[in-house]
Amino acid sequence: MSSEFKLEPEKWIERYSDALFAYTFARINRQDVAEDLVQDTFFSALKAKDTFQFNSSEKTWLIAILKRKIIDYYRKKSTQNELNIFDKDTKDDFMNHFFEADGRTDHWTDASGPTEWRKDFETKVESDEFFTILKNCLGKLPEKMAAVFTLKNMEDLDSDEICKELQIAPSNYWVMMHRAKLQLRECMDINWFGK
Amino acid sequence: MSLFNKIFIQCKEATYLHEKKRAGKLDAAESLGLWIHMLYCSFCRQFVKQVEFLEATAHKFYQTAEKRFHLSPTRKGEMQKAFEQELKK
Repeated sequence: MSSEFKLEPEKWIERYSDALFAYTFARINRQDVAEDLVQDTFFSALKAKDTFQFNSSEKTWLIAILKRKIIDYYRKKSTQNELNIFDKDTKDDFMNHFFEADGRTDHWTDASGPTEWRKDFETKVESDEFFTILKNCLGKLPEKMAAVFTLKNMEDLDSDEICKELQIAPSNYWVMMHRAKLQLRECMDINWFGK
Repeated sequence: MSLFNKIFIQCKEATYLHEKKRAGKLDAAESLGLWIHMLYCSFCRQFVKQVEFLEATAHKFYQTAEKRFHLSPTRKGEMQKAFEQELKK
């Protein structure tokens, strides 16, 4: 009896296209991009089928190829528009929306300052409705922010590895992650916690 | 930045330093400044608590994606056709 896995490319689409699409669409909030990456994954896998290690399942192997494609997608987004890189002290409309913009202080405004979330809302976070709103809020992040946030939370990559993958400086990573969290928190605050 | 300004920081800096802290890259003055700020700023304490909560739920969302989304049957059909062409090559 053999416990080895084998490749059956003729059955890939039927078996794995839904799972691969779902994996991608959760991480990249654009249906057309997600569909294209899934198709690319099957084609790349077919070309690389001689490199398949027979100790992992077909699905695990396909996901590993797909994961590389997702990282490549975000690298391209992160390195575009070099001029559009912020310093942590940049005062622009984005930051001024959260912190007082009168030139004297950088504190939360009374309207933007986070206040406690209702416990009964936190207990419903496993619901489909919650995840729909979370996806909408993630989908509103500009792509450079989505890049750092998604790569940090989709797998167990640490921040040094993400900087290497995205080819960005650590300070740029912190700036982008800071902005991503400010925006995401506010979006959930308004749309789920109803403030 | 003067030492005074490094130790008595404002919310924008504090929420930024929280990110730097997670990467383990704070120097001693930044670390002290962040610690002092968190003692008296309830907005920033809430911020940290809430974003950590959202990261945990985002992680769960990614891990459970498979049961939430499906490829459209039309697109799956097209993919199947294109792939069969490739298999014949």
